[in-house]
Amino acid sequence: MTLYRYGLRQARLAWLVWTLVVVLIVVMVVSTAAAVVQTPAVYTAVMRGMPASLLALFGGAALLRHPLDSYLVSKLLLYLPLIGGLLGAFQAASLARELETGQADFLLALPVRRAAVFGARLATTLSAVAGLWVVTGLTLLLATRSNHLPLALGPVALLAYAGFVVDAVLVSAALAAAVLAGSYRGGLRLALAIVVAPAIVDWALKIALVPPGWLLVAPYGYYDPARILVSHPFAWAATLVLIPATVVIGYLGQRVFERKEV
Amino acid sequence: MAVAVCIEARGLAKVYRGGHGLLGLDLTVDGGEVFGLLGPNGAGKTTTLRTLLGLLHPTAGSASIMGHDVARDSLGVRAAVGYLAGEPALYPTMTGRQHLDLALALRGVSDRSRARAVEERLGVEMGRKVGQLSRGNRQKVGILLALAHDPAVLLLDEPASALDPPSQDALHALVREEQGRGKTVVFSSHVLPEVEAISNRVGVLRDGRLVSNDALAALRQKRVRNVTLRYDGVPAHLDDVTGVSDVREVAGRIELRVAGDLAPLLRRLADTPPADLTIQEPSLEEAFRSFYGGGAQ
Repeated sequence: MTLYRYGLRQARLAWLVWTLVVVLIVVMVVSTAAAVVQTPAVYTAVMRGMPASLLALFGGAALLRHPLDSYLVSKLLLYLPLIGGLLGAFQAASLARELETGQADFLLALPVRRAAVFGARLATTLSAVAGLWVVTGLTLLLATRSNHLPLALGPVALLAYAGFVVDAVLVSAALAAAVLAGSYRGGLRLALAIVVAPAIVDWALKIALVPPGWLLVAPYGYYDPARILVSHPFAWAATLVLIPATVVIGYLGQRVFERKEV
Repeated sequence: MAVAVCIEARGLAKVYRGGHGLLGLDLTVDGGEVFGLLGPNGAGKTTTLRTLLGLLHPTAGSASIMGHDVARDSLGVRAAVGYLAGEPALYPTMTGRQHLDLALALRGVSDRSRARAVEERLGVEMGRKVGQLSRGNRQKVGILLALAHDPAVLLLDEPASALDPPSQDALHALVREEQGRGKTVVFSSHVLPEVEAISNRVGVLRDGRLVSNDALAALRQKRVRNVTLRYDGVPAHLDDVTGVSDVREVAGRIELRVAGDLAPLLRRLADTPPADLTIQEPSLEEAFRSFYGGGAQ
């Protein structure tokens, strides 16, 4: 618990910066949503004029088919998991830097299990990401209320939860990879690759307009895991996969950290 | 508190991918002893200390501290040991006080009397962020963190480096005090006089091997010092003095080497005192050559 509290204190500045970024994005998206709701004909005309793949990438297709909540969910799940993952990636790289510079000696020379040091860092980072998503949800609710937009609590809660479970698995993998790299630059590269690569693949699949029937995640006519995660029973299936994956990757990261020589 | 054998290593080796680190260390340090580990840079001093602490995994052999095996019971080792890294890279955004609070909390130590005493003795700046401290002041924080929980064993890697002379004196006094309290100290250095000042016994490491493990008196007998004399009148005849060798006259000065005790030379000089006298400590490499005739490897 001492290590966890210490980790939170270390991560508070990064958390604050990333949270402000997220709040800014949410407010901007909600402002766009307000405009869309107030002038649906104009927006729909603009959307229809866009190339189909670009429309799919930015979630515009959702607007043509679904109400406000789907629009917000698909737009926010385009960016926010990436931002949460980046927060985790930089936290992971900072652990690699501590190993590289010898700062970690301070903790590793104390009678504390390395598993506890790694676990505390993972828990700290996941807490920061969870906090990020809580703030995201609250900002979304407040922003939509202040714009007089009818948005139910359920989709918001599910959005925050879905974002968190996606980020949790990315962050645990980034932390394990950074420890494996053992240097700040190498750790940061690996962590960023782990976080950014899924987002790039996701965007590429959307732009490519992956046809219906592609895996089980294309019930809307094209690939869009955002709405799957928050509005479909597959959300729970994803949970069943991603949470255990986080635990397993975290355990593997602990093992790597225990064997790491500093 | 003192135990018969406090630190024991048998064939302890740590071989790196790029080359050797520590090759088959056999070492016993008794409880209450101050053991100096002497060697040039890259000799394996830091590797020895880090392997003893469990930060590095030995590739062969075994070692124990206070009965705790360094490979299998690293937690027990770390609970018994206070460690100072060669260059204490502490967290720059935390103050010394925050480091101390965290270290003592994780060790489960509530008694801060030793920490306060060391803080006063060394004049440690605990309220400033470590990133704002000079190298010497960071070193003091590191020393304090090693001593704060009153450990039975101290592993100190180049503890006096970056300290000013008064702080070095305070450190040496602290180490002697720890010894007086029954604590065991192993420290590394590449400075011969420092090792002489506080050690009971000295191990000399070279290229990963312990090439000497002597009591301080034996080391003193082996050492060779360079002496320069300047005479205004007729110089003393020094060739036949015990321990003196390589006597030569250079630009009006007499240069010579003295092995072991200086007393015979000083007795001779008392009869014919020089106008000036300089005694120069040998560099570590010179000391090695004098100890081992250059064949230490």
